Amino acid sequence: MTLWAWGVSLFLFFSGLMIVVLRRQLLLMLLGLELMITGANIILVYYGGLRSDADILGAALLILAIAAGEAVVGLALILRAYNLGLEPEAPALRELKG
Amino acid sequence: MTHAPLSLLLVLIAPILALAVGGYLYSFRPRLVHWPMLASCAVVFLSALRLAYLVSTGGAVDVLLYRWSAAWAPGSSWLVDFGLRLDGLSAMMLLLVSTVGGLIHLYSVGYMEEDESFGRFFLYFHFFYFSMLGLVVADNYVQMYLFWELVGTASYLLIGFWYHKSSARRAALQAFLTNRIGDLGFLAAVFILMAIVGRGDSNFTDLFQLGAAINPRWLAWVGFLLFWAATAKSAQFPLYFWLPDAMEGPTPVSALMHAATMVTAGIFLLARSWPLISLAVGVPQLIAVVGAGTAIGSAIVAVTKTDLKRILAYSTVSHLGIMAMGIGLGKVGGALFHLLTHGFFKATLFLCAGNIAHALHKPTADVSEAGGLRKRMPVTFAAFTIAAFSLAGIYPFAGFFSKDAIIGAALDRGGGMAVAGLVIAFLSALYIFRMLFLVFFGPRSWQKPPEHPHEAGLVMAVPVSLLAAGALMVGWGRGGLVDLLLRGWPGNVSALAIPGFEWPSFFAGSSMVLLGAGVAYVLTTVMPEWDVTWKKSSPALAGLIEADFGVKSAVRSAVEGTMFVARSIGGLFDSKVVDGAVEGTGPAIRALSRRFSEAVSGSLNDYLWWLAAGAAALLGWALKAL
Repeated sequence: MTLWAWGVSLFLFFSGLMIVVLRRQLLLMLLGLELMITGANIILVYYGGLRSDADILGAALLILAIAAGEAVVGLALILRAYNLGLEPEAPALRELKG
Repeated sequence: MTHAPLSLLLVLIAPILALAVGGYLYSFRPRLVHWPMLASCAVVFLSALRLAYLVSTGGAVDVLLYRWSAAWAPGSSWLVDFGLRLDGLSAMMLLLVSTVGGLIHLYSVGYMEEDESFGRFFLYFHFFYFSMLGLVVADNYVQMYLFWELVGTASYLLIGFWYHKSSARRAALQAFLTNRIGDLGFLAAVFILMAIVGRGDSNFTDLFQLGAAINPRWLAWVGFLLFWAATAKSAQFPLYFWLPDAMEGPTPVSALMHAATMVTAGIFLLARSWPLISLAVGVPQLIAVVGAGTAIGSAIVAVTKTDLKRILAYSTVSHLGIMAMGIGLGKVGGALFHLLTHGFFKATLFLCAGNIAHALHKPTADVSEAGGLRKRMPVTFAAFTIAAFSLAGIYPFAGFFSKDAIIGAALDRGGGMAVAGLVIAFLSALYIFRMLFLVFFGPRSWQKPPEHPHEAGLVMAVPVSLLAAGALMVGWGRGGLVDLLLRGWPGNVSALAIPGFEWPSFFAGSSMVLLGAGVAYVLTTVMPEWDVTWKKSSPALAGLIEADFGVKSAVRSAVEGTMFVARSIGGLFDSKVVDGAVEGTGPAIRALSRRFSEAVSGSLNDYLWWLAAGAAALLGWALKAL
């Protein structure tokens, strides 16, 4: 069971990381972030259940809430970029180039 | 460390208070600034009398006021004391400075009355006076150096007092910088002593007891460097030339500087350091030779000058040379005695010159403008005559006794020194009588007599008369002076002995003086034209003397050479090292920043790569620590 939990968790985390790093579409990158958070959350919930530790489960819930908030902010940013007439893709946002 | 007598503290406290009150008054009543100064002069004078009495009945007093220790420097036993030393030498100097200085303060009230910077003058003037008092009562070299520098600063402020005159500014700068060259010697001597003794504080008493134990080679250096310092302050060859140019200041400044404060500091330093200098191999001989050379050279120059204050300035250089010669011959007592009498007669002479300039409404006067003043200014004439007789060394004026002591020592030594002594006696009588005849008798065909000269007011005449009385009588107290000086004297007692009246030196000296006076009479009265015509008939000689025998230009080229070398080295350092560093920094940083800015691609994905890599590195580090 532990193996499964770790397997799923790491798979989700690293798929998310790959998506975030490699894909250009902002929407997909946001999705990747959510995957990473979920991956981390799975292993947290697993160990929380294993140890019957309410603190850990509470933390997992908190992470879910944060992920939701983050999705809201991220989607708002993407919408804003779209409204400004920019492509909703990462290469369009290069103002920080040194 | 005994209890401090109140009067000793007052010597420093009174001027400080007076300066504070005067500085406050200056902001709204600049015309009243002189009152606290005069009060302070009175307090200091009474304190000096009391202290002289205390010393002559009790003995030397050492007071430690404050000890500054550099405990923060590891392994250091560095201590700097602020103490007061009162012995016969400082008591004598206090008497001289407070008497002459106080009277000149009084005189300045009249002399500077019409000057718009009256208040500023008194602040500077009293600061000068205070610095000298502090120098005299210092009880170690570090403290003495502090006041030594303050004296130099005050002299700079006063010589350049009329700062709207460019010549005054230049003279002030020259005096200050020349003195800095001398101060370097003092500083080096202090450092050497610190290094040898290991403690910076060593007050004079402790230090002089060590004297003989110091490595003689280092001791010779210390003696030489201290004399080097004295050549600047006391205007000896080769650093003397600032003094004649310092005439740019107001006359009371010259009087104070020549008689009581500035130039006496060097002689005082030599007398104070005599226990060290007497042990330094070759240094006393050097002092004697330099002193004699300076005395003769400047006396010759003084004979040719026509500006009243300039004649007196060269005469001061000459007399300081005589004092240095006395010290070099081991007659410290005689030199100090001459310092005392010289203080009185030279102050009188300067104040008389000031009276004349004041009467002519000019900052200084030339002999061609002053002639036949005898009847118009009787008080000044009388005072000048007394002081001139004293300077020339005519029995029984004060100058005779002190000069006789030094000339007697020179005759005892024999050889070149004896000749030098006699030549100096002749020359000093010659220039001072020439001045006397030119200014007060006549006028001669080439002189333009002043229109309406008037005698000085009471506030100026009284100090002059009192100083002239001093110039007449101070010499009679020579036994008392020796007794006073002996108190707390750390060196060999024989150095203080002032020989009594002796027929051989009296005859030798006085005949030279009479000869000088006679020659002066012939040159000014019998053949008055000669004084102006000889310069035209032999321009080479006149030019040589005008240029101070080339000393000035030699020193100037030495200074300029040093400056050139320093400037070349400095320029090279500046263009290569400093500019290189400054100009190299920009490009180096720009190149570095270009490398870094490549990392800032502006691509979100790249940033996230770096973010992930950083997180991984941190994680790895955290796991390793587990």
